Amino acid sequence: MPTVGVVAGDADIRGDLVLLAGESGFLAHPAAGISEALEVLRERRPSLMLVTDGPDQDAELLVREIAAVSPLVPVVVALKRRDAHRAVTLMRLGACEVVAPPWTKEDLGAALSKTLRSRGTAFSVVPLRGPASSAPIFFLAVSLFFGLALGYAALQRSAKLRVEAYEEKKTWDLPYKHPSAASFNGPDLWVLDWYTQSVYVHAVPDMGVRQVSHFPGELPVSFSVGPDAVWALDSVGTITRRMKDDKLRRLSEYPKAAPGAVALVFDGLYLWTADAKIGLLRKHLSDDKLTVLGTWPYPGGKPVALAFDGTALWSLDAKNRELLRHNLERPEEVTRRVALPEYRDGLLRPVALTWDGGRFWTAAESVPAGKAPGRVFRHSMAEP
Amino acid sequence: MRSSRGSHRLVPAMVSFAETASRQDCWGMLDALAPGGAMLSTRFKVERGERLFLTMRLGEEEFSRIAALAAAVRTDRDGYRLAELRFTDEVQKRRLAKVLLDLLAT
Repeated sequence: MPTVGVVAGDADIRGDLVLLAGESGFLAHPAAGISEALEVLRERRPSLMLVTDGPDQDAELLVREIAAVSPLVPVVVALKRRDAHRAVTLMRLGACEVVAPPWTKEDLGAALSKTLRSRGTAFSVVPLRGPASSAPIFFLAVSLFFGLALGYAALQRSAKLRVEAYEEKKTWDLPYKHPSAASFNGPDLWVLDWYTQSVYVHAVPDMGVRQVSHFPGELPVSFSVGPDAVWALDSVGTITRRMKDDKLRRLSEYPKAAPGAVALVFDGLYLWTADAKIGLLRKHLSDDKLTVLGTWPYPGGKPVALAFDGTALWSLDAKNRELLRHNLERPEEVTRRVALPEYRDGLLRPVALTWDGGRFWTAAESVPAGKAPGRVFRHSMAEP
Repeated sequence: MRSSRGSHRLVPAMVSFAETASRQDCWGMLDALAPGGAMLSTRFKVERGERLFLTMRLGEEEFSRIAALAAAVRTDRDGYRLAELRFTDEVQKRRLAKVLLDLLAT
């Protein structure tokens, strides 16, 4: 803590100044007059001296005496009456700072600490460099703002262009030839290829393959991704429930639960299967036997895939190349038919159907099978 | 007379304002001084764009009412205003330059 010698003839004023100096963070040593001031200088070696100037005490004399004894100790004068001429005179005599009345803690503390840090006057014959201007900082801040804004706009535009490109694109070729089922798992499209006995996980924005899981020793024909498991159907009608991990580990098996079925979908509560050969829809309870709750004749030509859009059951009719919406209470009743012009030329055979939460997707294999890569279509359907 | 503490040169200045400003004279210390301007450190209020007059002594030379313009003002951590003053009187500036050259040469 810096020390200050406080010289004032009046005891009350001296006490006040000692208090103010103390509140400003200085250790004050009071002195009643010049002799006590010199004693303080010798014995306490203060960092600076604070003296009053008024009728009862002439600061000029004190400034001179202090300068004579301790020329390196700065002196601050507290005027009892505001007088600029007097202040400048005292400073010319050697006072480093003169405080005008009324003496406040803020003024006095500022004067004392400013005096301790004073470095004097720098002379120069070249133009001065002014206080740091805020203009460059402002300019930099504005530049940074606009730079960030432009960068953000560029990123937004890039993302928008990607989305637009994605929106415009409605068909993708697959890196395999025999897709047989498709299902969405969150944002990823899972496609089953019966020939390679694998499930391919595609990232939808670019349809890149993110993961491949195999069904060794089985011949899967359809599958459906549920909230916590994957339901799979093989060529002899056996249904398996599997974990949604990269190995599709088997959790349970239901031998020949749906003989002749070529498609299945899990609607969250029931499992639906479709038999293309005899044209039949089945509704299964998801119990330990996948009990059949009901069967209905298929109202279309040849069902090859089923999908659930959250409210209704849909089927893909490969023969008529259309989607059918079924009444959930009476599935043999069709509530909507949607033609698929993508398959009109007969070069592709639709084999898979799924719903991404907003649109239907179908997968197809070439005619004849294996001649060309499989293909995926995203369908935009206007409401009737 | 030039005030000094140790190796420091201290140039105090009395600050006056135009009569129309109706302001009392005040004082401060010059942190820097050049022929074209000065950096004034003062506890009193000085505003940017304000016109003022400095009275000071350099060596044996007395300078009275040097016309100046407060081009920029900021406040330091002690609460003192640091005013960048631009001297506006060419005659006073030339005289100031001569005295400063003499002081720097000695």
